[in-house]
Amino acid sequence: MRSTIPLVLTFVIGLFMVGEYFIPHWRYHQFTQVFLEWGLILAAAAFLLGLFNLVQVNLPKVVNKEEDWGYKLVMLAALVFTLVVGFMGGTDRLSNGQAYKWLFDFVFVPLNATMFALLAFYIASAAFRAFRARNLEATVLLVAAIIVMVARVPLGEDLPLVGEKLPQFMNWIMDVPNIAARRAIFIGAALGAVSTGLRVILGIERSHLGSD
Amino acid sequence: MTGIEIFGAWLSIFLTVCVLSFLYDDNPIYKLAEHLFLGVSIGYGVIEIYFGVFKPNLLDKLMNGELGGFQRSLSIIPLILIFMLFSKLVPKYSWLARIPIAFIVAAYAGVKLTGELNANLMTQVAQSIPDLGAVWAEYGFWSWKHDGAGVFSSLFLVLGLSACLLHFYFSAPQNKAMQQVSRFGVLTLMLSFGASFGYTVMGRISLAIGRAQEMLGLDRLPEQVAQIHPRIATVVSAAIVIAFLVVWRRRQGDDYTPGN
Repeated sequence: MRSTIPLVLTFVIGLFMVGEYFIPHWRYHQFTQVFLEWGLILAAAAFLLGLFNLVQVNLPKVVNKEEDWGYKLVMLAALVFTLVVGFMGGTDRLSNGQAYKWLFDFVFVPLNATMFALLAFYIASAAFRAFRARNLEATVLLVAAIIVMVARVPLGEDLPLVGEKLPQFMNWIMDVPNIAARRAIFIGAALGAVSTGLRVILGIERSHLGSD
Repeated sequence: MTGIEIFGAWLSIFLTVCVLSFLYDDNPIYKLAEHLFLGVSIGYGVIEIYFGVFKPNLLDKLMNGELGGFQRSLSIIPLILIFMLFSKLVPKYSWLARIPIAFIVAAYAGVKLTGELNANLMTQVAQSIPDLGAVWAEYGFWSWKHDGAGVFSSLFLVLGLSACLLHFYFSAPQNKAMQQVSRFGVLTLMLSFGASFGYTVMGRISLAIGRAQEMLGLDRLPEQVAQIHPRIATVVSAAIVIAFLVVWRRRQGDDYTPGN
């Protein structure tokens, strides 16, 4: 029963959702929208479950003063503080003068931007070590990356001979070969999604249900 | 600017320097900023989910007296499913969580099945087939003015796409002709990966420039700069972080190895 009910539910709901494509009736569409809304609520609840799990894992480590407990305390305190000011702010939480807005502007935004900016240094250093024009494929990759990087800064446009055409050539790379490869990847991913969807609905793929 | 805003501007500069200290080594002051970021971002995610999803789609509907009995009782179903999902926290009843998980997976698998076919398969294929006559009439073989648009680019798009797809076709042995086509596919992929890499690097660098501008006060109005003094904040923050790193490094003594 523990496996059968979820499998039957997967089959029925999955088939019902697929049916919308073949039965374009407004009443049917209303039902699928309700199901999708429930799915959205449940996905959000899964995020909350992750939050509970995070507290469940980290709180005992703080209480027992295990390794790195101080950092975990900072994380939990920041979490609780954000939740408190967020709920206190309510629907006006992002208005000027609200503590939640202050936290967002002066803590979240700079930390988020700096964390990602930090990657620039590591990407550059990794590229310096790994980018070698060993064969034609590696050379093409290297040249495409350099063209895109140089053409996106004013310095690139001022280069003698090629400067004028460089931004246009960069746009061509982004619009033609890049789109060709990305479309191929999207088509492959779509075929994968369709086959995985069928496997899930038919109960062949059961990994999402976990093991007994 | 209020005092709390000036304090916030100093704090944001200090936190920026704390994160940048990772360039020296993984150190406690970086870890502190990292965990602060984790806590705030998870809290931010939960608050936005509550006000963006739970409140309008569940709580408001449950508490709205104007809704009819049937609509209200419909809203109880996701609530029951949420309780089932949270049974994951109690090992004895954790199997109940399979029901809401099965619901989410089935609903999105069903939608994706037809959605992906429509949006990513049929549309992508249809958009890749060019009207060569119209392209020739508008752009000719190659037009620098329109970023290389023309018959050459249209053919390159179709051939590149086909070659990329053939490169991932493993159901038939690759003969010599297939290998040549596959190689063209690989070169197209390399062009795309290189372009994506360059684009990502420039995006990250633009973020770094944004941080540098804030630290130097270049992104603010002169009157705000006069109140905040961002350059002083940067120097003070850097001095605090460097002093901390020196003390931390000395405490580590001879056991110190970079990266630990």
